Amino acid sequence: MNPVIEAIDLVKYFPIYGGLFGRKVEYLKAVDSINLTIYQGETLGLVGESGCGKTTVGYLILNLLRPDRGKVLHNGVDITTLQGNELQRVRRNLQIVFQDPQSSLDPRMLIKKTVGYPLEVNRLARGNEVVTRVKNILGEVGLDEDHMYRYPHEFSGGQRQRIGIARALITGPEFIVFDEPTSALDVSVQAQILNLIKELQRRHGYSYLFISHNLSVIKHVSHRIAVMYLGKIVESASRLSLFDRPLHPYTRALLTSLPKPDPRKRHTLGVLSGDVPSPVNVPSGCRFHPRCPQRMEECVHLAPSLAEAEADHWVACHHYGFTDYQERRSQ
Amino acid sequence: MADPLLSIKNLSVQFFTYQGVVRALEEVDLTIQKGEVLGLVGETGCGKSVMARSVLRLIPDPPGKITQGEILFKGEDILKVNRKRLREIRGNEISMIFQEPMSSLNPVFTVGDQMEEVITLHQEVDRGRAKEICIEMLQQVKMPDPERVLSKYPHELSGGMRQRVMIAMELSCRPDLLIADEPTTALDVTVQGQVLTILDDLVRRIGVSVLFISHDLGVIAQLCDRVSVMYAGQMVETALVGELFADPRHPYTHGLLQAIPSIDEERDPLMVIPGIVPRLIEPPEGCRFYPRCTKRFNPCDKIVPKLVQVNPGHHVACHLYPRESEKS
Repeated sequence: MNPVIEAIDLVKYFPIYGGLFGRKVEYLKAVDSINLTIYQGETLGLVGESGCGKTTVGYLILNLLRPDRGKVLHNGVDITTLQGNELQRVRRNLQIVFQDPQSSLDPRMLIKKTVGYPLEVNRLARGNEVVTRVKNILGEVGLDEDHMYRYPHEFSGGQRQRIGIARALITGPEFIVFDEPTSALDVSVQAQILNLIKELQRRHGYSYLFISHNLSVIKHVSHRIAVMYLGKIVESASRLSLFDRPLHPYTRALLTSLPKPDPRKRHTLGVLSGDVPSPVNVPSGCRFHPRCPQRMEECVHLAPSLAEAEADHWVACHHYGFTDYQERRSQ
Repeated sequence: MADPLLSIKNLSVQFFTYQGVVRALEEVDLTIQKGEVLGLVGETGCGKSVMARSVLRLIPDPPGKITQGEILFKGEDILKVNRKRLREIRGNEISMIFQEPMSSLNPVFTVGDQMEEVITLHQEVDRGRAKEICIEMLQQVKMPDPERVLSKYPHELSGGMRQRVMIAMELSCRPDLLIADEPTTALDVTVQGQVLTILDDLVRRIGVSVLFISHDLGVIAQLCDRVSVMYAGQMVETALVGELFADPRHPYTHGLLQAIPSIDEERDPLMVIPGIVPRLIEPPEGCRFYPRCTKRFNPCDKIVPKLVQVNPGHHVACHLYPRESEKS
């Protein structure tokens, strides 16, 4: 399989200005050397709690933010150095659907204009052809033709999210970032949108980066999953491997904290103490160590790097320090 | 069975707006027994919060109005009590936790000031004793270093800590009923886990009854004894939690349970409830779910179904389950 997107060693620190002369006093370490590969026709799920940097990763990959370090390869070309026309040409292939369908649609633009705009900007179509293509794409996402002549406020949340999806699809992209596309929606509507997203992938072979804090949603849509904590990827594996055998203590805690909609399976949800630390003052060593129930001496001092603990199951944790883990498995 | 602690009968609430009359609650019944945790579940705009606020008469009037019904709390109709008695009830006998802890704590007073105020208002104790109670309560919600927290301002605390302060504050007067309106929706999943565990422990230990409102069926399944499901201002089903999840009778409840992506089983595609929630200005006549219902038939669009007992303690409002008298 061909990788559509490869992110190599991405770093993004946001400066925080302060003091008398407004100097840079600190950095918010939003994303700290992350590697991701997304293959053609697959969905990579990126899961983590608020403030862990998952949205920043999405923006970096689309070059909506410039990384401080690292590269993003799209079909082998580094897009972080592109500018002007070249960048615009690449962006047709890379699209995004935002979390809040209310604020990501211009309230004063007709849907026809909103959805057709990417075509005009990219000079892909003009006049009547725009209208035809908008019509087609609206049908594709489950809206009616005559919805074209309405404004965003006339639609429900779920329908607005369909419009957001139509706008992303109209340039015929290869790769789409979904940034929490259903977290503003109710469950019954969420199910409709999730089905639509999966169906579109089956039909057209899109590649997705699906960002969410909701583990059950991530499991439903993803082929592979990466778990983020405070700007780092702590575990990445295929979806079955991750849910059947979560290795990192944080992933395990996430899974236990998730309230299951089944009263027969009641369990203690509060397995982690404390809150997610601020990404400005990240803990030393492993960033999870202050909350980790299985903390060891070296976790405080030494940051673990991602290692392949099982076939295609990567984890950044000293408990799976390579030799050590092999030994314990053989016992 | 003993008299219920809270019994809401035939409650209707309407909001009079420029667009028209919003019929937010329509002839809703609800009971909570002593020591019971009742979950109230439904989607956005179904009237869960309106129900909670009506119990404490917190519906802003105008535009809101409780047009009919009664809310019996320990046999006394809250809708008829005078202002003085209402003040005694609020915060003391019935207290409430809101969704967003930042907006329910006052940003210019310390946590200690606010907690002590609640205690000195409702109990005849001096400030020294009030502070002791505060510390005790903060310990019970597993707050690290409670004395230091008392001198902090809300913005210095994290979301999870703020919600724990709210729980401590609301339970400091040992109310008979706690209303928790989506208390963990704004929190991350690991922090939500902590808060729910603390709330569950504390509630069971002091034996307070809880009306727990949530849109998250997972949280409801983990926490509640009994569940009521609402849809567009109508009560559609009530049952013990085990029975509701194992054997949902109302088509809406059934659809809702099937629409959640599950960690434990593969569901692809997800079952979908077609359409969207109706507007509550000019809602559908009859059963408000009928435009989206896959099992609708003749009387659904005309007659509002009443709650009918299908099993002991299991009530459904759906024409699929006719009353004894209506069976032909």
